[in-house]
Amino acid sequence: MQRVALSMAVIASFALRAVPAEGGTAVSPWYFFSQPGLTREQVLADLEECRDLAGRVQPPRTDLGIYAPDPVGAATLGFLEGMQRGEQRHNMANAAFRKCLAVKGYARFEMSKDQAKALYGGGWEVQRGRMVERALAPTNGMQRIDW
Amino acid sequence: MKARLLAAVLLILGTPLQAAQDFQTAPVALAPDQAYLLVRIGERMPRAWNALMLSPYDEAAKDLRGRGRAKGNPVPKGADERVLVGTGKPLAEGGHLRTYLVAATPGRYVLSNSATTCFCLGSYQFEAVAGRIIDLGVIYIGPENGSSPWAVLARLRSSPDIEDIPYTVADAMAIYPWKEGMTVPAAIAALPRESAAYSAAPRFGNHYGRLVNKALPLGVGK
Repeated sequence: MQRVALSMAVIASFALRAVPAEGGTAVSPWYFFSQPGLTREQVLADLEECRDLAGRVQPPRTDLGIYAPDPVGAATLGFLEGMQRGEQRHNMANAAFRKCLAVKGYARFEMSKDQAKALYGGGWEVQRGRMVERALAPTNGMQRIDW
Repeated sequence: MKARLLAAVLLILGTPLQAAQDFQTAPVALAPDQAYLLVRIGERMPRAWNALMLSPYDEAAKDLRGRGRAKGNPVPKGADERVLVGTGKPLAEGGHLRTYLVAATPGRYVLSNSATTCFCLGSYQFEAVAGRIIDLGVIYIGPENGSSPWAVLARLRSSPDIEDIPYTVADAMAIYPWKEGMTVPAAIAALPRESAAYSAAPRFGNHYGRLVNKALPLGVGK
């Protein structure tokens, strides 16, 4: 199966959708992962494993059952289906990455949009290093988000 | 309608390359070169049923045979590359459980996937022994959004933004190894049968591109 190269900026910094939690407070769409008790090597290994598992996610193929009799209609339909699959894959990969880190004991904390941009900017090698430092740093006074 | 549902499950899980044999009636005798897997699977929702995939497992490489870290250990030609349970007709049904008996190539298997989720962050493996029925006990599978009819799964929830998009909600899986009191269809009660000797399968790759999760601890809550 072809592996989907997923940028951490896509996986980790964009929430699926900001929705109100039970208390009426919106769940932050910007967050980072934290588990200060680990070694740097362990966090690196966890990030790589979760990235690999999430990067392989593929939405199930569906047949919408819509027939377009002409080439332009068929192309439009194909384009729209492709967009839908792209969004599904993005959402599923995001969920898989979060689930993987949750199973490995990481907590999720809120951050600002600017902080998220700084954390998840650049290529994977750069992001990964920053994510490791962030995961190991203290989280005193920061707002934890439920998984 | 049922045919469409089955087609959808097969589409999601993937059509078996080498199909294991489902039994709707008990076999008269067990073939010495086949293993037989007996498993009871709980309802997913009222009147909606689960499917489960079992995959040949390389214990040393910690991956599915012939894939990823176990690429060098492929499944021999003609052997089952995966075994689907729950897509055929059950041997018995009752108490919101369906009991399946499936013939499979002997060997080591891992409970690898539900229709939506790879349990590649941790599941359980067992040896399917030739000429015997291996009893896998009862398995409950359901989404982590509080909708399962089974209490052990109903208490598991996901983040609100995950639950808001149903196809991003991973399944949970609870496995209860066979013990006295679990029903065994009378038609196979006299055949050689032993409980699966489960051990942890700590990891494997997400080779079918599903959501990911870790199976609940064996016998959780009981």
